[in-house]
Amino acid sequence: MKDLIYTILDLGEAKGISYADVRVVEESLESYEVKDGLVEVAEWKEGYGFGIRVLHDGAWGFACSSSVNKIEMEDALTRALGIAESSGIARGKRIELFPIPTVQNRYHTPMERDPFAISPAEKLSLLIKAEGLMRGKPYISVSQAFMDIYKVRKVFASSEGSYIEQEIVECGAGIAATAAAGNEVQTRSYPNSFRGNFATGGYEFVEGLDLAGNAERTADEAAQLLFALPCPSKVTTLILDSSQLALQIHESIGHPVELDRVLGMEVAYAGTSFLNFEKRGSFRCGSDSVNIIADATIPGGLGTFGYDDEGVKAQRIPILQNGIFLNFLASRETAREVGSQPNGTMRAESWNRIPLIRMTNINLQPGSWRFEDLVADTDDGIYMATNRSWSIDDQRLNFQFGTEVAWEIKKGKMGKMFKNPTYTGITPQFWNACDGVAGEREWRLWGIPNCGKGQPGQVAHVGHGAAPARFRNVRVGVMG
Amino acid sequence: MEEMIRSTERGIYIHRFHYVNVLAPKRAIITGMTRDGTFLLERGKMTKPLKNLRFTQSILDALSVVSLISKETKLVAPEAEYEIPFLTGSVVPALKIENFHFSGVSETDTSR
Repeated sequence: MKDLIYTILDLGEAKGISYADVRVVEESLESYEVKDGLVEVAEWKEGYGFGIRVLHDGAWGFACSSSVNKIEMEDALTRALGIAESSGIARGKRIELFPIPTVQNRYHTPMERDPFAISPAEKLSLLIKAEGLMRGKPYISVSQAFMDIYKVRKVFASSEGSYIEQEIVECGAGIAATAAAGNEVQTRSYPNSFRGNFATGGYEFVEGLDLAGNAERTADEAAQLLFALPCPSKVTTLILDSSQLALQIHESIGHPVELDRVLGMEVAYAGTSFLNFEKRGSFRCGSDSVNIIADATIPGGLGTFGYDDEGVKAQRIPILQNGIFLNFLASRETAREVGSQPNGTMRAESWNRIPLIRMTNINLQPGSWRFEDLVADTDDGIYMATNRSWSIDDQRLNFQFGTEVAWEIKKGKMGKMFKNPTYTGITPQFWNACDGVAGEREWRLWGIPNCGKGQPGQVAHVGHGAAPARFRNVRVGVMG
Repeated sequence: MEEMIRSTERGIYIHRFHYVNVLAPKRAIITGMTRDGTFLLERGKMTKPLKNLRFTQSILDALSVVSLISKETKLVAPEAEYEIPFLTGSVVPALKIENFHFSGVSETDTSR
């Protein structure tokens, strides 16, 4: 493979191309779902191909193929060059890349048990056991269990001399119980909605989730929701669980710090950002309690890797420090344009897509509270858990989230359950109203395997670490 | 379309929605934002641009109070769903909806 790639990069140089990179990507995916006592899905998918990106005369070109051989690579190089030449006719500013050190290295996800080496029967029996504990419980009409495992082996080589081989392994699982009675339908999930929680690592992560140990409680809560009162409509103190907070970070901090959005490259689809370069280093986007770090190096994060798809090493970068906005996520191109540094955040969904700026693990750092103290310290409020829906405007300011469940907090104690909870706010005001973050003990890493961006669309696997946190004066119970 | 605007004493003209999601599936309550141009209609004319608005609305209720449907239709082809490589589209008219429920407004200037 190395010889083949070098032959192509040499050919590019002979054609006078100023920069080229080749990515060869091999992916495997296994996906399982058990529903109402039956195996609903047992799916294996594989993909293999390469992509060549060239920068010629200040313009990008990209071409790819699923046949990895010399003839196809030569052809793709010619096509990529043709696209760069055509793009050059209409280009605005001349694209230049921020210089980076060249790298010869390997990276692989550390793990104990390779999830691909575990038999499908063993994986399914874990799901069937957990699903079986929810099935038949009072009011439960649908019981489901999910598991996904994913592996990508990729080679990145650039005309500058980098050659990086990586093997990244991810897995995760979850359960969901849907209860119905009369006109009411409610779903409760564990450990998270939308198929569960995901991490880089081995099968030990799936086993550690203890789906079976949480199945009955999950089903019971779904049934209780049928008879819960609707979430009241008011302005109150809100405590979020760490999984809902993960999505709050994702939508209102993670996306707005993507520098390509700020520069207008995502306007048509994903939108722009309320942040701009002048706000860097001075804009207060949260209270002193809010410290957020983009960390592609943290063990187990779904956005953890060795190098990004431009060959930039994985990094740990402060995003908000004591509430002050410090850094964007930047590529070699965008960093050069605004005079900052690339920070290892360019990733492509697969061999057939160009890399884009993507979140890594955007983590809210733990605070000094304990969850029970946050509750005990709250006279009147509401605790919401597990995401159900999300929506945020194209500048990432006005958001509204729905969660699966909420509980009233009265005089420092958790009280009655509420169904259909929602809350809404404006990003900087909301984070500025954060007056307490729970500590290390309750801090969890959440994997979000379905972050969408770009045209054509690309899905990225990203992570968020968070502990429960408290927010003052939040509008809850918005229901039309 | 022109007649629909001309017949409106006071209303809002919405060009595009952003990031629409379902809040309560059984009642078809959805929420989302406006984008790319939201305008105030007064006495049959488009008078002012508005900040982006959030709506939270049962779509069944909204469709039950449609007062006018445009003669003109438009092919709207949203993004193909992720991982579903088909382009889909809908040929749709414009609607004039009475009593559409807005629940919030976006701040556009947050400098301090």
